[in-house]
Amino acid sequence: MDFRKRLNENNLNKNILAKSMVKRQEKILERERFDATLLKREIFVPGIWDFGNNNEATTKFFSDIVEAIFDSDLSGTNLVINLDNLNNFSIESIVYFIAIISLLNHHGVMYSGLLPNDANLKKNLGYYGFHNHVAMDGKLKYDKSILAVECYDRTKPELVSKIRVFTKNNCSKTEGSYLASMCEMIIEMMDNTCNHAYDNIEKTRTVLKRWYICAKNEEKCISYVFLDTGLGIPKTVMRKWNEFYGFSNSKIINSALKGDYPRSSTGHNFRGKGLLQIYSHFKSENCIRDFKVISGRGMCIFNNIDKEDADLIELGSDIRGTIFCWKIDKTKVMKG
Amino acid sequence: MKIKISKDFAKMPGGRYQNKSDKSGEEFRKDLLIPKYNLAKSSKEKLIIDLDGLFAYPSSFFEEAFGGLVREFRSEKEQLISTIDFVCEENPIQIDRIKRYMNDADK
Repeated sequence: MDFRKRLNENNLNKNILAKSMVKRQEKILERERFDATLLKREIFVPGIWDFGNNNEATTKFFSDIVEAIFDSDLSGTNLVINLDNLNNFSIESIVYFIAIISLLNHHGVMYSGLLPNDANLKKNLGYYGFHNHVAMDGKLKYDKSILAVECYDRTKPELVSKIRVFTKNNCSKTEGSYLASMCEMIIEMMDNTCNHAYDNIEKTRTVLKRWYICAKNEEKCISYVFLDTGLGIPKTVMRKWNEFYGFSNSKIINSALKGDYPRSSTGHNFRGKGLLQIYSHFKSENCIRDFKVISGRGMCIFNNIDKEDADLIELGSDIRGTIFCWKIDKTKVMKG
Repeated sequence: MKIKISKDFAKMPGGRYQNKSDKSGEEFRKDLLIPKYNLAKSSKEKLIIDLDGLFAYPSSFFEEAFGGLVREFRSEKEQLISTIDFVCEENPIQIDRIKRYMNDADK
């Protein structure tokens, strides 16, 4: 009896020991897995970095980076941003990337990165001010066809004057109403961002209330990008007018641009017309074309012939803030 | 009495508020428009606002400058509107726009 009892006890102890060892090993493995995700998270840029032509992968890339800033579970993660695979990029992607990197810096997120393999692409990124804003090596490369990314936290008419000169010089020095319309559009974008884009966005942290702008001269047109990393049009609109609940993000953007909401967000008739003004300038000038607005999960691409008409597209992931893109078609610029 | 905005203030006006914009409508109203309006009123003269020479006519700037003036002098709106005249040979349509801001300012 004693022997059998002792044997049973021994077996029981062995089982307990084995179980605790397994548990311990599981804990070690779990810890290792946790450390691996906590310490390093690698995000790869898509080969085609373009909201229009590769929206799923492009928006996913950006939302993964933004998640690392605002998701508290990822706090302490070291991001590795890998641009190795990059083959092709749109201007708005590069400007938005610079803005997102500024957010990472502002919130003290640890990150490192790899530049594209292709030497030509690397050089091109430099012309947009990439190294100046992102790599912080202060070596601004210069290309006269590109107005490198500039960012501020207030409306800057002097910068608008600089963009006016850039535009006029690249449109055979033609004076015309298109110049005033374009300048007014940009001033409204700046002012709208400063007055509305960052309203109540973060209650617990300081907010980087900036806008970013860039322009590029091409053979037949000049491309412009203006953006912010604020709350975005759909969220701002839905916070203030619950009539829009149930609408898709692209439909809300389209309605907001056309002034389809009942009253100003400030409660005054004379305020809150910034988006409508921006859209009106696009409509009034034949040479202002390819107007595109991306915000939240929505993208509106306006038609150049019937400027009331737009393709309403829902994105794969949420975009923080608002991106405006447009072009001036040099062949349609009119004198006077 | 005259204010030529492009010469006396800026060729490229800015946005609405002074704390959020360089060369704002609020700054223009406080530093130039109100003092000149008060002078014109006391000397029973017209105040001419010359809009020629500007690179742009941003609505937030003009609404805050002239709509803001009406809101500040609400009780004398009629006198204010009759004291101020506009000149804009380059883009006359802007005059109607600014007058509309003044008429709608207190709605």
